[in-house]
Amino acid sequence: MKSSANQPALDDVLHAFAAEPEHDRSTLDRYLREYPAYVAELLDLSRELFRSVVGTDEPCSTEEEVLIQRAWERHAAAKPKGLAEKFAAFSVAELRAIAERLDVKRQVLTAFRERRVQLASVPRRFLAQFAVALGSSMEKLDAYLSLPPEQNLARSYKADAKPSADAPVTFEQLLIEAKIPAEKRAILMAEDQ
Amino acid sequence: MDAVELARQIADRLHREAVALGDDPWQPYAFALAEAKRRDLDVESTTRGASGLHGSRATFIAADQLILHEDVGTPFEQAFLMVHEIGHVELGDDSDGESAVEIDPARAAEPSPIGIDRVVDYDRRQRREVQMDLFAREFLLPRPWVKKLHVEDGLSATAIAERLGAPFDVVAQQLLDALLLPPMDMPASVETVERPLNLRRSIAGCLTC
Repeated sequence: MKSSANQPALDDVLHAFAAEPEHDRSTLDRYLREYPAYVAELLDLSRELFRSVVGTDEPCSTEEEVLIQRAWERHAAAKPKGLAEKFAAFSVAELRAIAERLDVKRQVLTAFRERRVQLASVPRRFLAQFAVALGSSMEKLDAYLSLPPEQNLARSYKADAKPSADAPVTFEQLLIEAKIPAEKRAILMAEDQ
Repeated sequence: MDAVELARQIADRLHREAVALGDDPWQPYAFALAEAKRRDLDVESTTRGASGLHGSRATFIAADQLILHEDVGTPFEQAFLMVHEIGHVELGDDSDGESAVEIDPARAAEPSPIGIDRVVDYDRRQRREVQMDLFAREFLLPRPWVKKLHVEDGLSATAIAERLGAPFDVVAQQLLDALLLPPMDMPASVETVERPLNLRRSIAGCLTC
């Protein structure tokens, strides 16, 4: 598979995932967030890895170790140092501080992290404030929010039917869902100071 | 002791600890919120069907340490949703995200008497949700407390339900559990001592390798 300038090749991503020390939900979630184009392949691989290990007590051959090491190095070099990592690195206290600074509820930040908001509907003024609060730039925030919504595939549901991925909503709808009063919504929706 | 009973006893202990700290169990939402705060979890309500709920009524977003629940029903019902999610955290599901699609505050603890329900088994996740519903009910209205209110204080199920703002069937079901189910003691943890093999056993072990 050919790789684009910013996206590592599928095989590299799968090798890197396989080489992770833990294959738990948080690791899978991180890879799904970072490589939405390879969701199906990553899920297939994770299912393989989650299976009980039978007859694999033998250590890796030297050739396999070299292959894994090479893939890991390529992956580490090509890994985008983007907002996904920044979001993941924030502590709860920091997330609270960011929400307070932007005068929104934390569920609004979650929606941005999961890219469940329509970028075009977000006032540029709010985006600029958000970028500053994140310690990032408008360009990076635009690029992050332009990616497909995060698939909450690591979550489990008890619904009989398969949960459907929600389409991104407008910024205003997000504020309404968060029960932010109309007066404050008007301030947050304003384009100018 | 099954997992459901174990979860209920943990919830009962948490209730008693919360009361000892001064929390008021007659204010179910504030009582549940205080428990969430002790765990450094934030709780927010949202509109029914909000995009963040992904079709559920409440969800725990582990990455953000945030419980989100729909803003529908009485404070007791919203507290129930919150504690259902706290149950996932307390009982070890906090690395996943857990969402409550349907809850049943009045869920019976004993196996169903209806034949088909006994034959058609719950899957693991459904059993977990049953456990969380009973955890939530036990935290908000533990059996020893409801029994005391009824037997010693002379309050009827209706009076308890009105004062707590809880549905009557929830209180009635919990009272029936308290009065009719046999009490079960939490098993004491038994400390096992690992003893090294003596020489003869070591040799025997090697010979069977």
